[in-house]
Amino acid sequence: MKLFIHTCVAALLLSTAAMAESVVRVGVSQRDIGSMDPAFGIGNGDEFPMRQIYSVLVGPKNGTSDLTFANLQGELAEKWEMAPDARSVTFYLRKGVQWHRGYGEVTSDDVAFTIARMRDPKTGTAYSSNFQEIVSVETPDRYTVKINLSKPNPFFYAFALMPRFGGYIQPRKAVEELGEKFRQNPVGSGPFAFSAYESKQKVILKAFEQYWEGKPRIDQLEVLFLPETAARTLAFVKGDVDMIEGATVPGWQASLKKQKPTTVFDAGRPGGTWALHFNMTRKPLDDIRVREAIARAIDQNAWVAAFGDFVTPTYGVSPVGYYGALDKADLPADWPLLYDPAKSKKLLAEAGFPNGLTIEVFITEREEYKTNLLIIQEQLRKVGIQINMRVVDHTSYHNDIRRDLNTMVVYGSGQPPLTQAVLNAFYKSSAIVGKPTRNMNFSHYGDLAGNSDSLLEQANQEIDDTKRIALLKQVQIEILRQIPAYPLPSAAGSWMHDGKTLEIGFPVKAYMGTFTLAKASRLAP
Amino acid sequence: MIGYILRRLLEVIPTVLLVLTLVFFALRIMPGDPAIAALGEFATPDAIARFREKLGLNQPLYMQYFGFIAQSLTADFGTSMNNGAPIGDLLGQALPYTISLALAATSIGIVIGLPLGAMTAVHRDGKLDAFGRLFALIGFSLPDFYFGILLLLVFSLHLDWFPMLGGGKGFFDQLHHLVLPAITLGLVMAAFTMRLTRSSLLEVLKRDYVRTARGKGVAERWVIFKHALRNALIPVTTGMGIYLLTTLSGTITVELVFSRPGLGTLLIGGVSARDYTLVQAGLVVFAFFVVVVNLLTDLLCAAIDPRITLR
Repeated sequence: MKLFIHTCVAALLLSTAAMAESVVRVGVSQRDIGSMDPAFGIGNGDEFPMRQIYSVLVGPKNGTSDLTFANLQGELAEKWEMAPDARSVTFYLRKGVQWHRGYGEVTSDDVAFTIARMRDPKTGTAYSSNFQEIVSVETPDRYTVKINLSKPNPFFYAFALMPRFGGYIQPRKAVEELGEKFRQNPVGSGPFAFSAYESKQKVILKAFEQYWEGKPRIDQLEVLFLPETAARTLAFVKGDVDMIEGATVPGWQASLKKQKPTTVFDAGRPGGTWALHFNMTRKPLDDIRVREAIARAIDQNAWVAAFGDFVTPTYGVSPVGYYGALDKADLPADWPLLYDPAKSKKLLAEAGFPNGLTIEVFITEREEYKTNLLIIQEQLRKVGIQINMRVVDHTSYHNDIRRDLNTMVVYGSGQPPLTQAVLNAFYKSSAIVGKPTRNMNFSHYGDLAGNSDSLLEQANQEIDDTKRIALLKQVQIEILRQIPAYPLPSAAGSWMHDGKTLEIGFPVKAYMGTFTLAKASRLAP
Repeated sequence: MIGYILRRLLEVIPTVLLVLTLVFFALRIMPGDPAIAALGEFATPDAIARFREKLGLNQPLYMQYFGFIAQSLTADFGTSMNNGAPIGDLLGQALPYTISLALAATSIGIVIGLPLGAMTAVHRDGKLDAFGRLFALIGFSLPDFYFGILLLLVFSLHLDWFPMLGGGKGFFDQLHHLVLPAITLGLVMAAFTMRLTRSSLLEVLKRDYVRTARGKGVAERWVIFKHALRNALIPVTTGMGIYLLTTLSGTITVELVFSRPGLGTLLIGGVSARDYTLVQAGLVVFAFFVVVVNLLTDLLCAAIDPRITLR
């Protein structure tokens, strides 16, 4: 009898545990969702839930940022091939993949619809330029899609079809049926389906039973908007959230590790692209000697000392780890960006500033931007360059730097980990602020101090991998010799989860918004 | 009385119109483009132009202004520029949290501040008075965001008595979530009320009619509560009315520290995203609160002292 009772109690406890929903809470630093429509989502707050809701055709392997064609991991596509001339890519879709909420099967028509929608200027998406090289999309059957390009581009997929950059496949029926409501009622084919949204509070996602890889082990995923670093950190330490987006504050990670030893730091590498752009239309930055003096006064080891191994020095326009990035060994002996404060002072004197100079700069209130400029300010002070810093709010900052109002622009960006993406965005003449493009060439390189557009275009279209990498390195050396910008150290994506309660399912070496939690499981209630 | 209330409510119209106008133009003077804020760093000029066209931001300013006034007069605040959610729904979700926080903080302010202020005035320069002054000093010196974090550290992280995030669901859960934010704001209000009550009561206690009452042999407790405190309450009520409005602004910081939903969280998010429609609507609601609190303060003063006539 006693044994029977014990068995019953044990069975009851087990069934209760089995019935209990496993909920994982993730704290992001964004204040609210902008949109859950892939055409309009921006920032971590949007990217994180969108990655769980939608699928891409192909993506980097779980937890990595590897965009090499041969290493890609299929999601909606089970097979893919690129034409030898890199002018077309064919994807063969998995059969039976379902949309959430009963919207049917994912077919080639949905893929063609997504591309047409993202290309269409009427949609108004910020990612439309990623799709402009597509001239046509063929759908010979329900499960085959052939994308034809106007010119060879072996990395076309990295811009148009990846997570984070508008590459999520959308259901034609749901988008057409829901219209404007689609952005707050998304329908995808990812491991988690949208369930509820509470303004400025959270987005709730539920495990999708019919997910093609099988139902996720987590029943419910909540994405909480926690913009205050202190509140986010305390909630993580207490265990109210299982995973958080970190803060770029010196000593923050060490302090967190001390308070919560079970913390697992998920360093997303390669990190973001950071640089100090010199506005070469402004005096005295129009003088290359002044720009070199500034570059020679900056020691990237200061960042390593402040943040530890979460930051890595950058040698070219893109961080080490990006496709085509410059490494230390690639730098010529007479490289003008090497730390040399004595030479810096000499250059200043030659440029007519023997007693130093003062530069007025405005900067956003955001921690990561301000911290970078504070470190630079302290270093430049030692060679007699005074930076007068004015802090403005983040939206004003983005507005005013694009109006060419700043003297030096600190800018961090989450580009695809490809050097050509960084070159296109910041150093092409068509990207110069004030021109009708993406407006992120703050230095005016291309119109001033040189032009590398044709060499860059050559690199973009080169099919041979070795030649392409050589061209990308050549472009960078050509550009940086003119010092339109000083590349700043790259900080890894700073996320952390509680190793005691959450298992992601694979080692994390990429940004949190680039992979799903389909394989994650909760270790304890 | 009813005529007075109606008249005062009619006065709300020009006040709110003025606020609407100021808010509309102040937002447009601010640097920053809602289109860039909504579309992000990859936005092309074409996408920005389409976004502006869709939301009517490419129309002449006077047309946008009249459109906004017309919408506001029909209480139709439209949808959020940033994420397309109906603003009525957003306000409806946020307001109960802000109102409950402001009311709870005010209640704490009254319950602690009034009796403490009265007792410190009666026992002037005694131990209780010294304690009261120390309490006021601490209350005024601690910034609310810092005090909030301290409370979170002690009562939520270490003792685990109260939740750390959100506003709660259901009456008791909401009450549980309300305690720490209300104490954070209420303590400052209690310090303010205590100082105001003490100084006001000390002033009244010097008056001739109080001396006369004492001379006639009226019991001291009766002198204080019946004669002195009632008169002392008029400046206290006015001061608290003004302070309640400050408390409403204070909810913005407290909501952020406690990751609590509310009007403050909504407004901060709206300002940073240059969500004009959301910020306009939120500020109109704030302006409406200011008018209502002022009206209630006047009515309360008249109820305390019948000599005050409402015209």
